[in-house]
Amino acid sequence: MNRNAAKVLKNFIQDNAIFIVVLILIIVTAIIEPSFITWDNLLNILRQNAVIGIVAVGMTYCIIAGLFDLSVGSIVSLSGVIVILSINAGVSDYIAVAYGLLAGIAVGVVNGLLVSLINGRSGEAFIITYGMQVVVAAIALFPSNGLFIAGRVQPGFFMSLGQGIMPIVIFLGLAAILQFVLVKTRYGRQLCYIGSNINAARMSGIRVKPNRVSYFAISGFMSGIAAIVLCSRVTSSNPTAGLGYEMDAIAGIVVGGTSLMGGSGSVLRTVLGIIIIGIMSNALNILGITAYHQQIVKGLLIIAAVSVDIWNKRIKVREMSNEKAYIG
Amino acid sequence: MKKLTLDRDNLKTFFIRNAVSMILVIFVIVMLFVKRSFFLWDNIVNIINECSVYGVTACAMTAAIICGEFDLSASSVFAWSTVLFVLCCNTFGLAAAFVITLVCGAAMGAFNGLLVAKIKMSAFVATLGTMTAIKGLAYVVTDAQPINTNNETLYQIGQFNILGITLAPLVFAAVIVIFIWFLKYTRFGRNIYATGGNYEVARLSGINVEFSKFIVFVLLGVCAAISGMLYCSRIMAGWAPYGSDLALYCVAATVIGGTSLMGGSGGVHKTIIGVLVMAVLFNALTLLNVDGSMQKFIRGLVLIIVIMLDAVANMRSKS
Repeated sequence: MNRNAAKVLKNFIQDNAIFIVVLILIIVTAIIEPSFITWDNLLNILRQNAVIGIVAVGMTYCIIAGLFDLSVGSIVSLSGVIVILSINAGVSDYIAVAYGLLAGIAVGVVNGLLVSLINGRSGEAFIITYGMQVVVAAIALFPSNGLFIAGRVQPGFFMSLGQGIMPIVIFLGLAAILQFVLVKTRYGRQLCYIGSNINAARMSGIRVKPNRVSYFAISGFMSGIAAIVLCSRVTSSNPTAGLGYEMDAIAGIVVGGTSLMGGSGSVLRTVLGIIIIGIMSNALNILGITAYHQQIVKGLLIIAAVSVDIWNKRIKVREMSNEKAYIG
Repeated sequence: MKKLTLDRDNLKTFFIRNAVSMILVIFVIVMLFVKRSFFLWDNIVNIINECSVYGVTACAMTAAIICGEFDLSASSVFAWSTVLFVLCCNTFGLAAAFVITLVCGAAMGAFNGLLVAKIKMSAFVATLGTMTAIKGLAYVVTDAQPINTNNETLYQIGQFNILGITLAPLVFAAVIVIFIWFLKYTRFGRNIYATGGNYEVARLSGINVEFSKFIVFVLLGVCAAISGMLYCSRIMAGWAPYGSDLALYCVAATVIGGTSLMGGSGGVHKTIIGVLVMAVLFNALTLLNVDGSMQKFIRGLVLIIVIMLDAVANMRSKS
């Protein structure tokens, strides 16, 4: 019995190594600086990471499908520019927001069409969405010649989106919806199937092409929402606002534990990954570690998280084959 | 054996297959009418000098892509190499700096190689991690400030030229020759093709697949370090943000040249075309006074078009 308990504990530690590391970090930081575990600081962490979280959650579907979307950062920039320009042109908040979202969806659909037209795998998706990243980033620079645009934002619907607790509600709400769709609907199960074996999925009658276009569209749509939340918070738009978001989003997804091979993963894990990175950089900030040192820590964290994940899987495979041998 | 005829279908495939070279030729012809200064010796030398620094890394990236891998961290290794090279130049002198930077680049490449080949991490995640960490290291060491060197020998090397051609194109040419020899005529090189073509089959036929993967990352690290030092020799400074577009530039040049991202085929000779197309494109657009964001737009568009054409050509040849 005792040995069994030890085994359970060992498994638990293996499965949750990253959470345990974060827990230790939280405890150490809390001892050094008690204000770290206040409700305000927790909300602050969530609010700071809501925008990148929305992007990461949207990209999770692409990653589960075994694809990449590197254009999300540029979509954030473009949608932001469009929303603020529309508001400055005097259209109503709702229509401006709709324009921003439409831009995001449009770029996503173009991504999806290009990739599924050539039956692209992750390699093609990577390079095509990189091309789109460059193109869309350039389009975002055109209207303002690369300059920052101040928005003439009136208090109202648009402004309320970035204030107070709203970014967090949008982030967690959309994540919950996407998680529900992933786990509980046929569409979500098809997504996992396409990600793990696209040929088998095609042969079993799943319409692979429209589905794959939809994953990019969702990614674009969510980037549009992220742009709106961001612009509403700062009531202005910066045409390079989304620079590097794609890497941060992928880092969150990976740290959460979704495999880049496709076929498995969850939106919930992405939320956790984003929160872990958020808590970590907040804790490191409180401990007085500079942003550049944090970069080193963040890079090593990504490597460590994935190594542990791979290591666990290997142990599990070995245990399973041992058990099989024993039974046999 | 299928007889090759010059019917419409074959012609179409030919054009799609050689789209990149066509683009290059069309571009040069257009420039002939629009901007004669494009053909001045100074400008041609300028194009060659410009593209050679990144070209060195593009060769190694091609080997990695043939092996079915790629490396995001090359840009950070480049930046770190400029910093380390300048720091070592100032303290230990040029020769020691050269050796230290090269060894350090190889070590960083080896670390990536271990992660990918031994731990079996996806190259994307592994090099995303090392990219972030190494960039952070370069920032920490320099306190985010550019650092410069007054090393006289390095200055002389940077100023060296034959009819305007500096050291970089000579190194680039040497690296090209070495890589073509390595990939085509050595066992290791052919193993890289086999590993990229079909990992399992290569492994089962007794090829040391892990070593093949490992070695391409080491080569990438070394080449990124060489690129960094060449860059340093021109501008006599090191800074963490330098070369941040290097990795994706190299992937783009390789793909534009016609090496497939699926791995197992392609070659460094194709990448030379890719590097030249990108350099000529930039140069021509600049001469035509196209502004920065429009250049960016065209660059992205060309990349997408080339990949789509390549994929369409592959699908046609399959069916």
